[in-house]
This record gives sequence, structure tokens and C-alpha cells, in this order.
Amino acid sequence: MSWQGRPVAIIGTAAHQVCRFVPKGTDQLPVPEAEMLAGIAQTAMANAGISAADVGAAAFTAPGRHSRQQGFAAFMAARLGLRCQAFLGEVSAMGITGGLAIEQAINSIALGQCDVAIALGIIYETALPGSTLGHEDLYVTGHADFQAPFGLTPISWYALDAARYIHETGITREQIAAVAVKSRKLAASNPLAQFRSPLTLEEVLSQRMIVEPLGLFEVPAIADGAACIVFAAEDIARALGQPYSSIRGRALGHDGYHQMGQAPHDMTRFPALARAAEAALGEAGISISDLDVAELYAPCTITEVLACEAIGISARGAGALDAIAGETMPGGRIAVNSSGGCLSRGHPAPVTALYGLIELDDQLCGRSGDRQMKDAAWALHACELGNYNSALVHVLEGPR
Amino acid sequence: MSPLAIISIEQDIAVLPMVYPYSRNFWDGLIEGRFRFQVCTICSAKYFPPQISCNCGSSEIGWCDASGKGSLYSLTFVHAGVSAMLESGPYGIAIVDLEEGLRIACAWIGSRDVPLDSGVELAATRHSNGYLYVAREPSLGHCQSKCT
Repeated sequence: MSWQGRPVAIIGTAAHQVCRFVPKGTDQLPVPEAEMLAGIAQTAMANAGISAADVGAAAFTAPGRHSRQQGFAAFMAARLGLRCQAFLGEVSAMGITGGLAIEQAINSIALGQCDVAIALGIIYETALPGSTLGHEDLYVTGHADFQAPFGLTPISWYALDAARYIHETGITREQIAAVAVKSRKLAASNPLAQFRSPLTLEEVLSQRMIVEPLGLFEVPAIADGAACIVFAAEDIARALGQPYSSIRGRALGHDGYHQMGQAPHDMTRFPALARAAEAALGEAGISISDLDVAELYAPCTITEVLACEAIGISARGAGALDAIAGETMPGGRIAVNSSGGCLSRGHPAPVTALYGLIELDDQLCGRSGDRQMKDAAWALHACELGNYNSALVHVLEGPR
Repeated sequence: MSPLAIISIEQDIAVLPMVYPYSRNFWDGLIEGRFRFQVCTICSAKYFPPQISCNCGSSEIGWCDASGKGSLYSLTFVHAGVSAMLESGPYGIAIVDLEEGLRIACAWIGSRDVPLDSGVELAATRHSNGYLYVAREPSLGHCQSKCT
């Protein structure tokens, strides 16, 4: 089945460097969420060559409890001077939140409800005093009564994946940690990245343990981010005369688990992601081997390994080995997380998918500088991933 | 079915489960050293955690005692997270496949070096503020006097 509805293109993007918006040692938000996001949105629209009045749909990632300003989508529409007629609202579903905003913007155009749409959001984690993990996070990432009492933190699920994978394949924690080294190398040339200084494997392995076998540099740091992507019907993109990338396929998968099922199943295979990737590639009319770049929402080292294997980028058991061999770097078979990924580009979770799609748009349009994948023509974006079970995949084609 | 061992734990439960009328039978069972799961009387589907109704539509769900025996699917130790849970240092979490065909997550106590796929057993834990459950390596046999 090929793309249904009007073809959709990306015509402009903007994002803030991933970092702590509130510097350590202060409680003071320098700028409120709405003002920060307004600046990003206006830059994206200027990059796209459109004005606020042109925007027919605006899909915001729900700012959550971190934002003092609520009623966020309606507030921001007023702040930006939008006159939406197709969609105005907030979206949220754990790790696919950014992907849902992207999806809603694309769909508004594909369905013919508008010609121009924006997907945007801000997450301001450092706005919460102390930024410590509270009980509430346990109620998101596990059963409130039958898992939360055991302290199943968000990272613990990834750690359980890693322990099982190590047991089944004989791949070591040290080999999996290569993903952290590779990510940092790529982030060096990414101005949006949270961490850009060089990192050795020894440094990764010597950090304090977070949840075994994942240490501090094998899991994401607290991160704030704000990003905006402007989409338009492809004929408008063409008329604007600048290189653009287009969405050629999409699919969602879910196995019906929340972290884990009630009966034994393989927690290292990610079947929902495998099905969604296959369907999205099929809709785009290409196969895995046609892909040049991929951005995979991979909060921890192990997640990138397992996602590459689930999608078929790497053979079973070879995800870490491919990272070590440079196969998943620019210059290898396919550049995976050329942005530096969740570990080095950073992971402002609800908006991470926006950063991922921006990286792919830059790669496809030849704007990625030192981390450019040569002749990048096809890209795959995936969020969330794994036993955080929703998988939302988009396939993009670069300028023809 | 012999009851599970009940282990007294000094540390309070930091994140308490909510006990509802539909799940009370499970939590009351722990006090007696029983780990109860559900079986639908219409379609025989098994459930843990408990549900009010079966996904087949039936509200005729019965309860069964698990043997407490299972296989260790995965294991980890948390060093950073909710500070109230880390007061005594890192704590263990296990995913256990019970011999009745149910997969559960629970606390882990005991050895850190148990290979995955080892046989394990469940035990109830008694805290000053409630009961929970853990997995551990099979004990050689527990004295009645320790299980008060």
C-alpha cells in the first residue's frame, strides 16, 4: 500500500540546543516556556518562508507538569498569532509524544484539511526543583500497584533488557557501551547536542552505576529542549524552490504490553517496532538496504542495539558489533543516530522525536557537515521503542 | 499447596500499593503466605496483576494459589532513582516466569550472581506498613519458627 492522501514535505525547522535551561545552582527560569518556544517557532517559520497566518494546524507536545503555563496549545496559538482551521491541540503518549505531534501535522495536510502545519513543543525538566525522580514517574512506567512498589524506574526496564540480551547472546556490557562512544563522536559536530566533548570507552565504563549493567554515560541525562518543524503540501514545497525532504511512509505498532506482557515473551526482539518499520518501508516502496540514515529514539546504549536488530539494520546479536565496526556511522552501511542520539545529542523525552526528524531532514538535504552521510537519499525515524511498546515509524525521501 | 515463606523486612514500603475491593483477595493472601492469581471461569485465561473482569467479557473470575516456583527471566539492581527506596543501598528487581505460565515483576533478595533461567521461588515480605513479595534462590527449607 502506498502513501494515502496528499504528499507532505518538511519546509523549515528550528531547535534549541539540548541543555539545562535552568543552570545548575539556581531555581530561576530565565525565560518562561511559552516565550522560549515562541522564539523557536518563529525561527522555524522564517526558515520555511511562511508566516503564522499560513499555519492551518499546530500540534504541540503536551508540556506536562513541568510547565507553569497550561492550556498550552491555545495559549501558544494566541502568542504566535495562529489561525488554525485543521488542528490545534496537545498530544501525549509517553515516548511517541513527539512522533504524534509530527503525525498530526502530517495528517492534517495529507487529509487536505490545510496546506501548512507545525509540530512543536518544549520540555523544561529542569524547571522542577531538584529534578529528582519522584514516585509519580513510577506510576507512568509501570503498574501503579503491582510494579511501582518495587521501584521499577524508567531506566530499570532498559537495564532488564540489557541483562537478558547479554545472557542470550554472550555480547558484553563493554561491547554495548560502544554505542555511547560512537554517539559522542558524532555529537561533536552537532550544534544542537547537549554533550560534544570526546569520550573514551574507559571513561564510559568507569562511571557510577545507575541500574545494572548501565552506568551514568550509558543512560540519558536530564535534558531540556524546544523544537519546531514546519510541514507543507509537497506542491507548496516545490514552489518555494528550496531543497526539501518528503514523508513517504508511516506505520504504528503495539504489541498490547505495558513494559511487559503477562505471559513469557522475548523482551529483546521488539516485534512492534519490527512490524511498524516493515510497514512504513513498504508504504514508501523501499527496503532496509535502501536506507542511508536512521534516527532511533534510543534512551540507552542497549536500546540502539536492540532497535537496529529489530528493524533489520543489524543481524541478531550484531547490533553492538556493528557500532564497534563503524557500520552504523556515516561512512558505514547506514548512519544510525548521526545526531549523537539520546546519549549525546540529548533526550528531552517528549520532544526527542522532533530533534530526530530535524537531523534526518538535515542529512537528506546535505546540511550535516562533518557527520554527513554521503548521498543520503532515504531515512527512517522511529519512536518510542522496545518494551516501552509503542513504535511509530516515518520514512523520508530526500530531494529528488 | 504449602504456603510461601514470610520474611520480616525492617525497611518500610516506600511506594505503597493501593488496595481496592477487586484486588483485596491478593493482598490478604500474602499475609497467609499465599500468592494468588486469577483464572477466568468462562475462558480459563490466567491473570496477574488482578483485574475486575476478564478480557473475554466475563466477570466470573476465580482465584488460584501459585506454587511460588518460577524461572528467573531477568535481574537488575537499581543504584539511582527514588531516594526513599535507596536508603539501604541498591535494591534488586526480578522478572520471574511462574510455573503457572504467568510473568511477574517483583523485588529480588539474596545473591547477585544468580544466572538467568535459574529456578527461583517467591516469598512474602512483611513490613511495618504492609506486605509485598520478593523472588530469591530456592531456600533449602524454611523452619516454621521463622515464618510467623
